[in-house]
Amino acid sequence: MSIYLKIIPIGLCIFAGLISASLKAETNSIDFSGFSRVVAGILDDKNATYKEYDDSVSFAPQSLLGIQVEGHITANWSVTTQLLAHTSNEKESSLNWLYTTYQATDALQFKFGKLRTPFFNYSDFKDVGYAYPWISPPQQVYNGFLFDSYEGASASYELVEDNFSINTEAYWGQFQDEITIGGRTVAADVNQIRGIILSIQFDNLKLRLSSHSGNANIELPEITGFADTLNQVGYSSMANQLETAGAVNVYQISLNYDALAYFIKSEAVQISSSILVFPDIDSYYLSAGYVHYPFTIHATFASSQVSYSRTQSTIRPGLAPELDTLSSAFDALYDNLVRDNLDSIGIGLRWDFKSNMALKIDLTRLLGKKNESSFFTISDAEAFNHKANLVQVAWEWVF
Amino acid sequence: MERMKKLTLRVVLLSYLYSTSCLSQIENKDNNIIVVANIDSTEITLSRQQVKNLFMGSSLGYNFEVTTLPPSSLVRVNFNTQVIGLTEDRIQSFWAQMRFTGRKVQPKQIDNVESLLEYVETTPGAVTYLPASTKLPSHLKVLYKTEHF
Repeated sequence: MSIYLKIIPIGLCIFAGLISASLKAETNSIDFSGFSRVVAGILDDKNATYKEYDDSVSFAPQSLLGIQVEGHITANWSVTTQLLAHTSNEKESSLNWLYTTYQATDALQFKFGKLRTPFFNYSDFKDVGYAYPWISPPQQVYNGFLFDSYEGASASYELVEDNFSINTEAYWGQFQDEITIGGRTVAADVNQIRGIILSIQFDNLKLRLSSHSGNANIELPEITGFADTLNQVGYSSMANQLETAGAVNVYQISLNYDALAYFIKSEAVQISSSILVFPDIDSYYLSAGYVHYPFTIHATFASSQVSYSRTQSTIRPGLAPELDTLSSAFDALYDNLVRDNLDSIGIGLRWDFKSNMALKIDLTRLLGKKNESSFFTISDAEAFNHKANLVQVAWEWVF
Repeated sequence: MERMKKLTLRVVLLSYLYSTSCLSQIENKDNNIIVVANIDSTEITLSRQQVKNLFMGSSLGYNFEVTTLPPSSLVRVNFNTQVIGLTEDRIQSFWAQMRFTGRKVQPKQIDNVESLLEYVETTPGAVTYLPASTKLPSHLKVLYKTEHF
């Protein structure tokens, strides 16, 4: 049973209980808000799909509706839930956030519950398209591949001085759900997810540095089965390289500049892991925009480099046909790991035509690498040249 | 250098206001802004950066209750341009991020200058921005003033 089906009734009961308690209290209010996006896209290539987009117009991959309900229990305590309904086949409609907030002072805040993992600049509000200029934050960084939520606690503290301000946030928790790695959706159990984020704002300049880690145990039965076989025939060192549990480390840095008429955004990310089948990723983007209210035009370059720890079979060839088969399979495992190396250049236009609503159009040239997946799902490998153009239009609304 | 900066800001503000079709209404008015608070202390003055931080949800440690005008207000446009340094869409994007990640709460909005002044006059700790030409009751303190026009 999906974990959400377990959480939702429990969460709603707790929430309903707190709300009815708050309705009896003096300081109480319930705030409703939400966000919605209708996004259409088309890829100009029939030999592959990209993020569920193919060569016919589709509204399903990214359209969504989010509803947030916030109950104020006292002046310092509140409970918030955010429910998300997706049209995408790959994403479940679910409880996005469910947490309680304790505002200890104006500068110090604690949150407990189910929270979004704040890996990168836009990670924990990626579904709120209204809040950023592109239709999609650069795929190379924001590919939704890591564990995007956790159950635990976070604390943040803001120090405000005359000329600068510093925000520090730390969190700790666990995650038990599915993740998508290498184009596959697998169950993952990640504990001791922890991170620290430092944001420094100096006039128009904002620097964000963060470090995150977790101990992941990924369910890949065919890899575990293969490792068992290698152990049985006495090749434990090779079996140990196929470990599906280990540490994942994530580092991030970004520098943004926001002036009245223009902005620059840049972010670089490094993900590494001791698990063989979990890729090491270095990715970054650089984006610049010009604002002539209510229009914004922007251009973005992004790139990702994916690699895996090199492995090689140590089985001497010719000992036995079965061992030769195992040896070839082991080497093939490395060769078949999915590599999402991708460069892209995009331009886009945003029109804030009404308060709290925006229309956007983005054109992205995708430059994949030969013999690699580059985030594509390839249907005709012979015909596909690993380059394609994606056109997206979107209507964004917050209420 | 200072004159160049003021000239650039004036050009940017006038183009911005022209693009929102308000130019004809404001050409002859004082577009400066004052930030006022209903507090006892006469000691507090704020820099532009501090005012920006305050109206973008940070606490300066004074227990202020921040109040603002709605996006349709020309005074808010002036304030955004001269003090915050961001267009309304980016300010709204920032508040959407804060709201849907549970980080900060957008300041209270009051419909027009008259109602806003009345609210601040009668609410200790309230702070807001008003046109520089506003006639203020004596108990409201001016914490910051723009000098661009």
